[in-house]
Amino acid sequence: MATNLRPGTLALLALALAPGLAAGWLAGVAPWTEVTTALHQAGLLAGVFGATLLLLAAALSVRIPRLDQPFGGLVALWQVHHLLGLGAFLLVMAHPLLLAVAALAESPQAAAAVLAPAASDRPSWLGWGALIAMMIFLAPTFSFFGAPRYQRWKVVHALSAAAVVLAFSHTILLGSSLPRWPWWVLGGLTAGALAYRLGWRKLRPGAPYTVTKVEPLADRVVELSLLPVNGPLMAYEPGQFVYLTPLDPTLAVGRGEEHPYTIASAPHETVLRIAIKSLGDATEALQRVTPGTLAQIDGPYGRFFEPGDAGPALWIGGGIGITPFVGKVRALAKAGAAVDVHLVYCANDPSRAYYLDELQQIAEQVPGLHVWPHFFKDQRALDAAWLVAHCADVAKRTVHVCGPSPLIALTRDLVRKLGVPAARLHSEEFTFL
Amino acid sequence: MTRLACACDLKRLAWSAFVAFWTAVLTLLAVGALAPQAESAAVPQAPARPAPGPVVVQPPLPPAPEPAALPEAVTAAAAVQRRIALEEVARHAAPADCWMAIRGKVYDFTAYIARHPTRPEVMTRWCGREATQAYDTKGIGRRHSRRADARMVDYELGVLATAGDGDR
Repeated sequence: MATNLRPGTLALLALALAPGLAAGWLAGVAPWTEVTTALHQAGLLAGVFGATLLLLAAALSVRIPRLDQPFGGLVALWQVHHLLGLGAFLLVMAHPLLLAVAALAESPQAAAAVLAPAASDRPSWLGWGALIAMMIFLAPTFSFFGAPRYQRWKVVHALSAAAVVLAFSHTILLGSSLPRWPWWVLGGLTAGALAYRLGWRKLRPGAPYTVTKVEPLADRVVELSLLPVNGPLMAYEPGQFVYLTPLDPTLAVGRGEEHPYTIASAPHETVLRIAIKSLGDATEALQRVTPGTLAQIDGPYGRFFEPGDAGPALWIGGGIGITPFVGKVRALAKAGAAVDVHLVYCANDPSRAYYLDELQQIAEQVPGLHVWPHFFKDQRALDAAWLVAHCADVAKRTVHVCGPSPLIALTRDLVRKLGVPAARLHSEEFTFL
Repeated sequence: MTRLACACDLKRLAWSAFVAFWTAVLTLLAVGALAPQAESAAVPQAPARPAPGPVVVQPPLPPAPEPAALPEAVTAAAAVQRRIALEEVARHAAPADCWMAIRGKVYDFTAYIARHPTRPEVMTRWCGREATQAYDTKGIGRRHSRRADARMVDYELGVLATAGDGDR
């Protein structure tokens, strides 16, 4: 939690509070001693805060290279987006209910009329429209009717734009006594972000790169090398990821479809390298992408390693999750300076430890870098005794883990028991919700 | 960075709130449709129910009464009405002494301004003026609630004298 309160998140909190505080300060003029007045005011404030969070969530849905850094990386930013959306949903539902309950003091009919306003009361119906749109586009997000499929989720989630417009119109039309400037600032920010995503990004989804080499590393794992068609290679930090959109016309599936991949190369290299394991239709098709074809690269994103953090570290990579550590170790090889790092490479068996030889070679050159393979087939799951036997002082280290979810969960338990505080455990779980 | 909470907890929270919301909405709508019309202390209601027979179910959403109906009905009983000209109202145009004419009645809102649920200027700019339209629309085409209508009675001074009245 503590690591999530980055500068970006704090700035966002300030923005989230501005319209509500301004409205709340004004509402504070009215007496809250009467229960019905207090309920009415709470209902209005729930609407104000709900609309604010919805607008901010929409603004945060846009990914812009490097702008994820103040939030601690794109995955952290999306968690903030997710929580903002949930907060907006809860508050926007509370808004009409509190107003209706406040109206109960007048009569049950007045309360019902708040929830079912006259047909001519367009501003109120705009609010209902926003709420219904939210319920529809958030239903797959919160698995209301079973786990969603990604593509369907993506289509339904686009309805959020309608919810934002409806909610904004509702607020501007009815919030006559609210100060306007926070709404125009928020609305402008959100509109700009959406225009960027739906306009500019559609025209230019990423920089054009050429696939120069496709090197098989093991069964169903390849490493792609890419070079920019024009201009320099993008600047990035080890462990960051990019969105890759293959444009190879011979691809069976996934042509023109973007997916995130961790960069395996180090920043000093003259090519961009990406390791891809076949995990689904698109990644399977990419195993046979044609060298010489084009791809779009959007990035870099993520903040797996804290830039400049050179303290004692324990890195645990499993399967294709070794990739960010490969990039980092390749950068260490270039730097040549002494480090204090233990890298545990978890694989099913030696044939699946496709980067092990290179990592061990680099470990011989870089003082203080230790690489320990751990094979699930022979040694079963990673345990505390094995970890301590290879890295005695786990408790003093910063721990980074990348790999399948069970490995991340296991590592979290193990290192917590070995005395590593949660703030010193880092992972960038790229799970869909 | 680490995950904040189990995603499944958040999903459960969202689902529970969703169900609770519709339960509450449907309950309030049902109560509004089925409950007898609220009796206003000020408005005399028709005496009880008509003769024995089936229970009269109220229409689901009774149309709101004519906005002006309530205050007029309320004050109809008052025997003598003080008649106040708009010029007189205009002499009380300060926040500390604030009269307004609304729907043919004159009110002294001085004591109420601080209790109005907006910043004071929203109200005080109408001090000393005919403010019916502002009251009926709030500037955004929405009338005040019937609760507000009923409350105004407490601040009523008299009726607005029309041009030909001559007396106050």
